[in-house]
Order: sequence, then C-alpha cells, then structure tokens
Amino acid sequence: MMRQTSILLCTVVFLWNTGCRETVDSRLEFEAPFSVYGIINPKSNVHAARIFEIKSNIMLVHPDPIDAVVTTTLLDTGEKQAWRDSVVQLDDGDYRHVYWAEFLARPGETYRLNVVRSDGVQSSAVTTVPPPVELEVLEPDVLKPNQALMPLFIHGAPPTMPRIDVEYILVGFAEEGSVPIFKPLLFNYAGKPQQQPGGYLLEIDLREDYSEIYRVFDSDNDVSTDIIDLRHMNVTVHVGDQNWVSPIGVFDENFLVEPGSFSNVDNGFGFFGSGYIESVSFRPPVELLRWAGFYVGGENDSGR
Amino acid sequence: MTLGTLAVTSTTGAEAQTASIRGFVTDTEDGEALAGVNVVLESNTGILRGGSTSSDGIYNLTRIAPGTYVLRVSFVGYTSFSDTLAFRSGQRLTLNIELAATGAELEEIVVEAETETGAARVTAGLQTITPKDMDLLPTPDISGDLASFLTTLPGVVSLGDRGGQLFIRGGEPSHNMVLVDGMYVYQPYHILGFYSAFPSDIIHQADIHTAGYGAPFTGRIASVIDVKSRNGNKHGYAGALAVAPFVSAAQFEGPLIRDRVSFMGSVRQSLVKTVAQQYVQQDMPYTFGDAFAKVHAIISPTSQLSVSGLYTHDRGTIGLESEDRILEEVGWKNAALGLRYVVLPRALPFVIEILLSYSRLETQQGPSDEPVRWSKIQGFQYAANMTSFYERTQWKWGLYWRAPEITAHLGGLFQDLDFGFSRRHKAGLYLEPDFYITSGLKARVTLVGELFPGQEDRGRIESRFRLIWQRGEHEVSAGAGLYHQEVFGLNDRRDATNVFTSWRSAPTEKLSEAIHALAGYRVSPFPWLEVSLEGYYKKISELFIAEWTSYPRFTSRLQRADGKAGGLDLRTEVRLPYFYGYVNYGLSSVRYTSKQLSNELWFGTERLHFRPPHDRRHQLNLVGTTRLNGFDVSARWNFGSGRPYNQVYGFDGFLLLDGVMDLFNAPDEQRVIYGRPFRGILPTYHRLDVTVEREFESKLFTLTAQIGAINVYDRRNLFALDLFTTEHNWQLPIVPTAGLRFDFR
Repeated sequence: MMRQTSILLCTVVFLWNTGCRETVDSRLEFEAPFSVYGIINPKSNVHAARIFEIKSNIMLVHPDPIDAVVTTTLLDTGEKQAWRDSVVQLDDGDYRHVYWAEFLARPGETYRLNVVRSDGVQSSAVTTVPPPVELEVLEPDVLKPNQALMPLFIHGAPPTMPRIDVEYILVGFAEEGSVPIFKPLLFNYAGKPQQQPGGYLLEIDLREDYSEIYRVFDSDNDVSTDIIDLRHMNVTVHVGDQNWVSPIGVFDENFLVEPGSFSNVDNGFGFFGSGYIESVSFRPPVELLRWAGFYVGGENDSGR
Repeated sequence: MTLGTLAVTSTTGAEAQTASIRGFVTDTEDGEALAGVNVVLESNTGILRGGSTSSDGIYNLTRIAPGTYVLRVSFVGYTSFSDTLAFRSGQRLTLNIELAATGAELEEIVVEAETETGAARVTAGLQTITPKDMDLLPTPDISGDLASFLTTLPGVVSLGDRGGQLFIRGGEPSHNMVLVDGMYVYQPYHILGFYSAFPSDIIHQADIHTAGYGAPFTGRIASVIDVKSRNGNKHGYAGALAVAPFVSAAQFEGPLIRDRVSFMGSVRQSLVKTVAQQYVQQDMPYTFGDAFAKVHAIISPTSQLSVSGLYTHDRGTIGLESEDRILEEVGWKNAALGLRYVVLPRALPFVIEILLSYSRLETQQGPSDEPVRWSKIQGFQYAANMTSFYERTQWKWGLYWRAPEITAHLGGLFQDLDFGFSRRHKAGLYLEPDFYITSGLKARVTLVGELFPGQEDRGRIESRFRLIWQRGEHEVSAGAGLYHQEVFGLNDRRDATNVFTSWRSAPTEKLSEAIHALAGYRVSPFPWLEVSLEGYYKKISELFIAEWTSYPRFTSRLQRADGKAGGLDLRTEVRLPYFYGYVNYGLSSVRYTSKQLSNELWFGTERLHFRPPHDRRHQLNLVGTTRLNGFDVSARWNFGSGRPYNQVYGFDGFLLLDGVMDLFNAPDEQRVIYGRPFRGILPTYHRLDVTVEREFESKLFTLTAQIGAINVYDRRNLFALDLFTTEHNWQLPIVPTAGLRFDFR
C-alpha cells in the first residue's frame, strides 16, 4: 500500500512539475554582439558596412555612437584599416550606423572584418575580392524558329553571381498616336547563365519575357496596350565572392530572414562579402524583337 | 396549475395500426419551453414507453398499440401532470402541456438529484448548462455570462482575462463553432474575458460539445457551443436593469399577442473605460457591447416560428505602448439574423426544423475610420433537420447549405497577401440514427456527405458514433468521429497581445481534418454527489497556422501543421441543501508539428515539434456557493499552469544582401532573434474571485445588490510578456466590484 501511495505521489508531483513555473526567463543566453551587412567593392574607393548591435529589446536605433570599433585587415599583408561610423537617416526617419573606409581593394585580396565591443567581444567575417569580368553582347541567331534568345557572354571566372538584372525600357501605346506609357520592367536572371569555356553564356528569352511584359501592361492600364516598343535593355551582373550563395538557391527574404540562414559572420549575424557590378546596354535586333512580339513599326531588319 | 391542450388527427398506411402522441411542454408562468422533462406512458402492466423533451420542449411517443394509458409528465421543481388517454388505431394525438413551478427550490440553492444539467453531468463530450449554472459564478457583473462559465471547464484554455480567445481541447479559437438559435457567431467573446455575446439573461440552455459532436455541426474541428435563447414571456411583461462598473445591461420581454407571440431583447454596454478604469490601477482601454432580440410565435398547436438578431462590437488596445512601440487598436463586430421554424406536421411522423440565417464578422486593426487591415467573413446558412421517433430508434436526418464569403484587406506589414476574396459553397446531407439497443444502452451512428461545388476537393463522407451505457448511478460513454473545416482564423500566436484575426479559406486542395476519440465514466454515488471522468484524444491534420518568421510582425503566409491533443477531465459536483460547488481538473497536452519548408534551413529538421501557446498542462477550478443569513456567497478559485511562449536571444536588423547595393541608403527591417518556437513556460496563474449578493423581493420586483472582488489576494498574473521591451503585461489586479440589479415582472 505504501508503495502504491508513493508511486501515486511521485506521479502527481512529476505531472505537476511538468507544467508549473513561477519565474519567467524571456531572454536566452547569447553572446554574439553584432549583426553586420557589408560589402568591399573593388570598383569603388569607399567600402561600407551597416552594423546593428544585438540588443536585449527592440528599440529604434538612435543616432548616438554605438559601442563598436570596426577594422579590416588585409590578410595577405597584415595591413589594418580603421572604419569610421556615419549615422544615416533612412526614408522612414529611423537611424542606422553605417561604418565606412576608403581604400582600394584588388581582386584576389582577402580581408577580415572585425567589429569589436569595448569588452573585447567581437563579430568577424572574411571575404576574398572576386576577379574582374567583362560583358559581351553576342549576335543572336535570328533564324531559329519559335525562339527569340538574346545571348550575352560573361568573360572571366566570377565565383558567384548572386543577382543578374535584365531591365527592359519600354513604351506602350493603346494605339498608334495615343499617349505613350513609359515603363521599365526588371527580370531576374540569377542562376540562368551556363558555364562555358572562358566564362558564362547568358541567354535572355525575349519571347518568354514579352508575355509577362504584355500581362503587366494589360493589367496596369485601363486601356489595353497593344503596342509595346522596346527602346533598349540594361543587363546588370552582380559579381560576388565565393560565400555569396543563398542556401536555398534564391534570395527569398522570407526564408533568409531567419538569423544564421545566410551568414558568414562569426559570433554574429549578417553577411560581409565583396563584390561589384558590371552592366551593359543594348537593343536587340529588329527581327528578334518581332519574333518576341514587340512592336517594330516601320523599322526594317537593318534598323538596329 | 398544470394544463394540457389536446388535438387529434388520424394517420394512414403503415402507421395506421398504432397510435402516437407528441407535443410541446412549456412553463405555465412564462410559456418557455421545458427541456429534459420526463414523459412516460403507462399501461396497466407498467411503463410502456418514456422519453424526455428536447430543448424546444418537444416530446414524441410513437407506435403505441391501441388501448388506454396514463400519460405522466414530470420535471424537478414542477408539479407533475398526468392524464388517462384512450388511443385508437391510427390516431395521432397532439397534447401540449404546461407545467407550473412548485417553488420548492426557491429557498434552496440546488437540491435536485435528478438533473439534466450541472457541472459534472458530461456525457460523451456533451455538457448542457442553463443560466442557473452561469449565475452561480462570481463575475464583475451582477448577471452571469456564458464566457465566465466556459473558463471553468477543464480543457478550455483562455490566454488571459482579455483578448476574447478560447481554445477548446487543443483547437484554435476559430475551430469552435458557436451558434445561437442556429446562427453562426464567428467571434462570440468580448475583448474582456468575463464576457461573451451571451448574457445568461437571454439563454434558455447551452450545449457544449467538446468532442464527438453530431452531423448538424459539421464544419468545425474542435468544439461546438450551441446556444438556445429564451423565447420571452408570453403571459406578462418582465425585465431587468443592471448597473455595475464593468458592464451595464437592460433586458425586456413580454407578449406581443398574449399567449401566442412574445419578444425578448437585451442590451449591454461596457463601462470599463469610463468607470472601472478610474479605480483599477491599470489601463483598460476596452469598449464593447452587445444586443440581442428575438420574436417567438406559436403559429399553431404544432408549429412555432422565431426570428432572432444579434449584434456585438469590441474595440481596444491590448499590450503595452512604449516610446518605440505604437500599438494598434483591434476591433471586431458580429451581426447575425436568423429564422427558425419548428413544426410537427400533421401528416408526417416527425419533427421538422427549418433554419435560415445570415452571419457576419468584421475584424480590423488600426484606427476605426481607416483600418490598416481588415477581414470580413459573411454568409447565409440554410438547414432542414428532421427527427422521427420509432419504438427503439430515433432517426435524425437533414440537409444544409452554407456559403461563407471571406474578404481580407491586409495592407501594411503583411508579407504576401494584400487583398483577397474567396467563397466556399458547400451542401451537405446527413443521417443520424439513435439506437436503443438494450435497456440503458444507446448508440448513435452518424453519416455525413458533403459536396463542395467548384472546388478541387469535390466532396467527402464522414462518419461518427457515440455509445452510452447507463445503469443505476453509473454511466459509461464513448465517441469517435471524423471532422473537417474549410475556413479558419489566422493569428500571430508569437504575440499574445496581437488578437487581430484574419479569416482565410483553407487552400483548396486540402481541408483541415480532425479525428476525435473519447471515453468517459460518470457516477452518482450519493444523491448529492456526482463525479465524472473523461479522457479524450484528437488528431488534427492539415492545420494551417501562421508561418514562423523573424520579422516582428504578423504574417499571412501559411504553414501546414499537424496537431495532437489529449487529456483527462475530472469533474466533481456537490449538491447539498445549503451548499453547491464543484471541482474541475483538467490535465492536457497539445503538440503541433509544423511542416514549413524552411524548417530544414532554420532548425535542421523537416518537421518541427512544439507546444502551441494554448498548451496549458494543468487547470483547476473550484467553485462554491452558499447562503449565509440571507446572503448568497459565491467564490471561484482558478488555477492554471504556465503556457508556452517564445524566448528570444535578442533583436537586430535584417538587410537582404541579394546583390551589391548602396549600404548608406538600402532599406532594412528590424528583426527578432527567436529561440526555437515556444520553448519557454510562463509562470502559473491563479486567482480567487468572490461575490456576495442579497435579494430584496416584493410582489412586483426584485432588487439584487452585489459586492465582491476579482483577484481577491491580488495575485500578479502575467497576461503576456512583451518580448520587444521585456515589459510584463499583467492581468487584472484586485478589483472591487459592486452592482445593482432591478428585476420587474
């Protein structure tokens, strides 16, 4: 009987303890001091990093200085560079601390960023500056039936290309002579280039993009836009270091917002990389535009 | 005085060899239907057949062999009725009976041993309560309310004394179906947790199904609260006015056509902001109120018609405002209008109930004149329910059509949905026979078929069953069933102070489903004691919950989850001449498993298991009421173990570096660095409420005075922890209350 009573008592005490607390501990132990979002750009003399203190409660960022000393060290030579704080005010009125430094970074150099708090706790990240690339607009094969592919060659060996923007500068008309509607539209071609000897081939599918362009013009305007003229195109290739890779293949903020899901910062969060932008503007040949569905009016095939 | 009104018709065909009798049983004083009345037909050799009246007061005894019988009608607290009736072959008698109250219970709180209601009277997940049960509880208002009673039930979890959200046996608030006179009420609870749209003054009875419910309630996966309102006094005018620091109320009823048509209306308005807040050391920026009206008509001795309307409004700010955090108001409004027609057809041997109703709920966040986001669910519902009675079976069958429309404008910070509209039509048909297998053993089998026109999931068939075995003081019951739900409310459960609910349709290819299983035992070892024990298990699949995100804001992105809820409810009710009380204990466990695509990336596992914030492991409610020197003293002690909440590592900013950008100007977002979901446990919760009442009676009126206190020993109970500021958001401190109620008749 005593044994059963003891078991019963223990069971009750166990069950009770599984659900009952008297204290509330909302903060988990966490030592990391900073989140860092920074880029070393070999095509610019000024390099910047937005620094957030990891705080115990959510507050608007105030313009007062933060407890951080930011430096970069060129690991190849040991040369150290101090970064300066600048307080910027965003469009929403909130303040941010953007640290910056002026120096020339060269392809192949490796830098370590250190963000150090006064108690010595620090966040750090390492990046290697990517090599240069060159963009070349190639002649399209206008004889390929049912296709309108505009080729572009990226010469060089970019470690990553996190973003490739293809921008169409367009003018739409409901009918000839009506009020023109100017509209730039951006398409994301990240992940599309195919590796080839000496670089990457990017084929812009004008025909596929046109159907989306037509849909956007059609849905945005009260009057059906039957005439869509492509004035020119801008292609912008973002070249990044080898760390600049989304773990899910695409840069979706709803996935990557989770701290640590896309980060190369030790003892902290965020991403510190190096990269630059190459861009080129052009207008595809008329026959290709016609194939894609764009308005070419009275232009003849040699009117490029 | 006890009266019977007799009408006679004849039948033909198969029924012609036997006779039948049916009718309505009502209260002589006000004409209200009496539910649970025993109706027994005796022959010379003893009891031939018996049954009890439905919530409409309907009884129906069929297949009676020609002959002479004594009909005995009895109900606790009422004088019995008996009459000798001679039945001829093929005869169908309609006998409406009025019973008069004996007044015996007026001097005592509750003395009945035979009762259909009560704190421990739970059978296969169903508990029926009456206004008396609600009025016993101490509340800041002098009148009772359904919400206060519900929070005493084991397995019913509220997140605190505000917010208007009740979780029943593991489900989300929108998984509960709440009906009044057949009308849907989508958000029935007021922003202050003591109150719902249902003051006890308007309630005739409420059936609370916490699991295993039948076919007419298809469409919700957690529970059903089916409220039947009073019809209003058909014989004389009566009413009440009540004033209290939290809520003031007025109620009025009477005949429009004496003995035939009655009306009943009730209006309540909160005074929290203007009165109670003046002496409570806490901001209470809440405004709410409700209005209910009903007209009930006896069309003929065999048919009744009622029209009911309900309106509620709520507005307030929950949470703590700080220098860096501006809180947005939340508000919601319910409106419902319904028609109900009950008829005992002369030519057909069943009871027909026709329901037609329209319900609407508008929820919004932000300023009332220009809300940042809002959602609206509205729609018509039609139903025809038939019940027929045979010697050893009772058959229910029916059909229904529902067409809820959802419109949502989720501007501002919502991630993926700005504006949306959806309509989910469905038509259903059901069959639900009750078999009286042997003496004391009853089984119910339910079959429901539903069609969803124009949707990917075109239809489904669901089955359920209940089994009840009763012998002497023992009752054993069991139930199981499959349920589904097409529309649901979405909340940001990371933040208890964010009670804005956006209604959404389930993605078309999948509906939320639940399998219920329960088993219970009830015993009355003594006339004054009743004990019940009920265990339950629910498996929920395709549960759509808000996607986990580190943005400090609500998201309308959905993630799929499965859930499991299990528990044990123990209820003990004591009914002594000068003391009534009960103890309810609930042990429960709720687990969700989310299947969000990002789980692998974020947590290193495809399936994330967690305890949702309504997983309260232990709940204990002690309620007692007694009469001392003419004063009614009521007390309630409520205990709940801590609920899960999110812990955080800290806060930073997030900038999506998806390319080379200008870091001096690029926009970013504030971010919460959460720990794994719901790993923290809030402190335990307990509170004692006490009220003392005294009635002063005269022939024409009753004046009731009440004083009391909520949270008598001033326990600091946490409502929510503001993770953004670490501020504690406390529930009500000690709150003295006083009220006056004037009832006239």
